[in-house]
Amino acid sequence: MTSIPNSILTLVAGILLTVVSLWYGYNNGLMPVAASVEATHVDALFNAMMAIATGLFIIVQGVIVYSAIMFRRKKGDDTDGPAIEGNVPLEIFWTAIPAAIVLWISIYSFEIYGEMGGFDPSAANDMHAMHGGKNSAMAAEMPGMDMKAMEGMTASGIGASPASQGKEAAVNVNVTGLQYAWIFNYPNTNITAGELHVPVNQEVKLTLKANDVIHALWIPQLRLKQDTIPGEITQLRFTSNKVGTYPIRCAELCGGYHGSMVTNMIVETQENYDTWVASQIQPAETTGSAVMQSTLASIESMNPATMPTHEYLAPYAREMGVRTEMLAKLVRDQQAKNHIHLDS
Amino acid sequence: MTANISLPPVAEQASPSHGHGERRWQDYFTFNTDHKVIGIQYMVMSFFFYLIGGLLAEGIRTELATPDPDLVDPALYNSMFTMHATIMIFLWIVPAGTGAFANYLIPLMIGARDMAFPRLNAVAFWMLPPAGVMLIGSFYFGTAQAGWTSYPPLSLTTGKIGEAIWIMSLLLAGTSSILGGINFMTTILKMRVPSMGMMQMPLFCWAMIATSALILIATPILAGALILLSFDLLAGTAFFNPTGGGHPVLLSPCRLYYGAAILWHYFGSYSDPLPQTDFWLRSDRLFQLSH
Repeated sequence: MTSIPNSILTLVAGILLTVVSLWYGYNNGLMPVAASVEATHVDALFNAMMAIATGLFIIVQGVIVYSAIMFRRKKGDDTDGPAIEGNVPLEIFWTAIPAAIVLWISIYSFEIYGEMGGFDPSAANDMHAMHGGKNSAMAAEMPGMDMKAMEGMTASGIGASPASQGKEAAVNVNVTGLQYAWIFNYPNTNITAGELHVPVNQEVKLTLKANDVIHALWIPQLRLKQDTIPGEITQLRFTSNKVGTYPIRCAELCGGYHGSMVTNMIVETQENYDTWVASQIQPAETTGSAVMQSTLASIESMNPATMPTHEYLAPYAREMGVRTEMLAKLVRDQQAKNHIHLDS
Repeated sequence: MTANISLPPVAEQASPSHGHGERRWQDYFTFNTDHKVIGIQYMVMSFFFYLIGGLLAEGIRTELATPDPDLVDPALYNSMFTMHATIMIFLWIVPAGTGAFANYLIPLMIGARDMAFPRLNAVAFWMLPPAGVMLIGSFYFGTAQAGWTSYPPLSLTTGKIGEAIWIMSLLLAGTSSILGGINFMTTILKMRVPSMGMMQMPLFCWAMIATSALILIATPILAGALILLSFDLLAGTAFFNPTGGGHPVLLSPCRLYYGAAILWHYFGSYSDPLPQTDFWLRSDRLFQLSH
């Protein structure tokens, strides 16, 4: 009886494998909403790698399962298997394929990283880029930092994408990570907030620092994550193109309440953003919300001199998104530190 | 192993008075230089710590069952996953992967009577139980809470006594792997039966050469970094402390080297032994493993 030639079966299996891998790679649905153009590029890279990984998974697992069933030991057979010597051309061939795939992925990922702004000289520790006005511009943005220490240093992280390199971002925000909160300061308007508000379709530059331990600012919907390092400045530049509220998480273990170091990034229309900025600058004039009114009423009616500190500061803490348990922990830590300093 | 009897005296080693092959149960609890005893000691000890690490994992998952910190407080929770990771890496994966299999199998596979340095081998094993006891004992003093990566400055500010014990314990475990690595490398390179060239060795021996090389390159870096971290912690230096001009990220490359090394060593380790286990159990023709 004639059977179907092996080459035809292999060909059909190969086509099926390719179709299944590509289908799963581009329909995996594992990523959250992409809120920037760069995020969709990252997804394209991820999907390509997913397709390759799916194919590899099916091949490897398929061979294992097939071999375990087809070549299992027969009853009473205690002999050795045939001593098959290597096949050098075949080994070169199957080493060349993964080498080519890895090379292609690395070139592709470098390209995506470049598009995101990873190769912006001012974000890649390129000292030459720091000559001229940039250094002073950064110095102006970092009140309270030791300028001598910052001299000659560039901020690592994700810089401007190639199209906007050398240009200033539309919105600048200084971000401070501390146990256990994010503080967002808008240097041009001197707004300080516990949530990150940014206008849609405008380039935003975050200048990040940490007050105590290493934290990491992670915004999954932008596919961006950047360590904030004590004594060093890092940066992130991005342009969000989707209005919405996205979570910001700390992604580097920073202590007991690391898990609650969560806040939001609110991407809003230019109009809403301007309204928010105005409400933050002059709260007395914008009597929009009832909450704001009651807060204002309590502020107006109180005399700081007669109030205990914690009562006076409570509304501010609420506004900044600082929670009671975080404060308690901070105070405890500080007391513990003081004890240690006194002891030693 | 009948195949070993005809060996030339190249593989002659200092052996305990009762000799190999007559093992009593007490031997497994003493300073014994028999490579098979040491291999089994490694295996049993590492799985004992594996159970403790697993219990900690149970605690972690139970705590995570609800969002509120209701089983343990956040500091203890951080201690638990720090200990879980440390125990699983340094007292289970590394001893079980290298210590147990390499000690038991290498001399059998290359036709040596024992490892090159049997006493060093026993010393390497007996450094691990104190390391484990110190780690678990540190729960009495406020365990390290900074995760197994132990990045400063967090590791310099939380659970200081625990962190110091953690560093000492890892230095012991690290020294143990370095001694083991030296032993495996020397044994494989110098103690093969004369008829066995490098290319006739089983794949497992090649995997152990790679593993030992990685251990010998990476573990001293880890140990050096840990010693500097202990200086920061105990002597007030500022290698990693930004307030004194140190660099907090300096530790992470050191950890990465080590992490890469311990992961890599499994790549080759199991591709050879597992498919052939059945063959070993039914045959003493070990040299036919290679063509």
